[in-house]
Amino acid sequence: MSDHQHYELSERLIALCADYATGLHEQNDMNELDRLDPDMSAREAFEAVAAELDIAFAETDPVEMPNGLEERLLASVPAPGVPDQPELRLVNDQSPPVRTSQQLQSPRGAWFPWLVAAASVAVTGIVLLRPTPSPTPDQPPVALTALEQRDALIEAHANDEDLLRYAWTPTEDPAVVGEVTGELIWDEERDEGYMTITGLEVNDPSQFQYQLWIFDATRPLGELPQHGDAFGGLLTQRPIDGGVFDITDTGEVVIPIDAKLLVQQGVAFAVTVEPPGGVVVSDRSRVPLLAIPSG
Amino acid sequence: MICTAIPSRYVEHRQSGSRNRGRHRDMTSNEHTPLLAEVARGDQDAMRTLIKRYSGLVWSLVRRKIRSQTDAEDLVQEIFADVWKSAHRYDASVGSEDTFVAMITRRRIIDQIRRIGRAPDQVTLDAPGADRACSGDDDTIDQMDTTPQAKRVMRVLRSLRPERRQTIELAVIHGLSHSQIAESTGMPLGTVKAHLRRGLDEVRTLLTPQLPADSKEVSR
Repeated sequence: MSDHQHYELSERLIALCADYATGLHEQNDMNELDRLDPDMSAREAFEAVAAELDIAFAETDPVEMPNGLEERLLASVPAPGVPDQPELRLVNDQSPPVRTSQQLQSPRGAWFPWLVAAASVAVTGIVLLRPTPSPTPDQPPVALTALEQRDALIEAHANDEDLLRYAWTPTEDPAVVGEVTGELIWDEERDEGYMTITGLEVNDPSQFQYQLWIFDATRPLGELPQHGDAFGGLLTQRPIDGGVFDITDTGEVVIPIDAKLLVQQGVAFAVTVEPPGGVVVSDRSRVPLLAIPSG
Repeated sequence: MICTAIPSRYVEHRQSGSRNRGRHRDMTSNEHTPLLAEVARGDQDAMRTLIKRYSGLVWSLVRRKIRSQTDAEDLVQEIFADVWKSAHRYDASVGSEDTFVAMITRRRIIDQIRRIGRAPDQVTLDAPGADRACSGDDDTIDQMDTTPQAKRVMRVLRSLRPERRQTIELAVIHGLSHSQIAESTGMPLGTVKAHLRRGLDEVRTLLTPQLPADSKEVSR
């Protein structure tokens, strides 16, 4: 009990944190929240409380899992030897800066008031979602560009043929504004890949964005029959979200693929045009690019 | 100004390791074996054990808020992929693994809800056990097949004013928006927000052990 630290929050910060923890915050309030809670400790304390409430209710009234879900989850665990932590995706990592527990909890120095608050919240689980120190802290983190990451992946496969490489197949969608060049590469073992693209319209992210979809042969077919037998019926499948991205330049752009699920057997890829932020399920009404096996 | 402090569970965790999560845990697994550190090192067996241990919990959290079963199943898979990728951020000295998993789960659910919209306005309070716990006496809660911590949380929730308890249940457990809660309960929108915000902070305060006599309060 002796390590308990107390601090007071303003009513405004409580309101912002409570809204954030329940997902009811307004985007307009985020700047203020970031200013009042720069290390996210207060809002994460509320998140921990909400999580605890959720856990208690789930224990009291558990919802029965559907048949086969746990088996599918277990089957999605990568096989032994597959790199597990996608550290090369540093460029797109939105995580807060690395802080050590020692930094958070040391009650010393002129920054005492805030630090005490931060330390107390840290013990409440605030650093649960924070990066922990690297095993080699003396080495500064290296933020590779997407191009460098792509080149590194290609280099890693210089002596094998395990890297999937697909050329783009453009469609007549109006987003195709020039000669399409580039390719999509995908490493099934690492669950990592990159797109290089030219020829797509530079988009205003407030108007629309591009979204990549990954068709995994292990997932069931037939959920969107309106797409018929095109490409062997592949487009009828429910694909995996490969991430939302923007075309920022009329020249070649390199975009890391951000697969939201583990891809077990990626056999085709499609770029769609979607509302800002992307969608969970695309109607695939606009598909400017496809990456499919030739022949 | 409201005083807050550490929920005692973290102290308990540091002293006794992982807590039993009752029906959400695989009772055949090593219940007190921490897993996330092994997962962070790429141990596939640890990840499988973690899935067995927490898939029921994650599913319960997701299904209560995501309308489509297909979307819910995909989201559960995304959540475990996220746990897999984020395990290296977990610090066992500062919190329990189930809270870590639940926080990631809640974040992903909130992301999805904000992308695709909330659940239908009309909510069936499909948690009769929780309702019973919140409205019953200590014996009712004691008889429930849950962990001591869940019982403690239920007691704290039961101690709140009914309006605050109700808004917390609808927002935190069922994922309703302020306006949906206002419509469901008939309370003015501003009142809903006030009850929810103060209620959540009250829960945090009530989950906190008593202040040591010489503890220092700090404002910010």
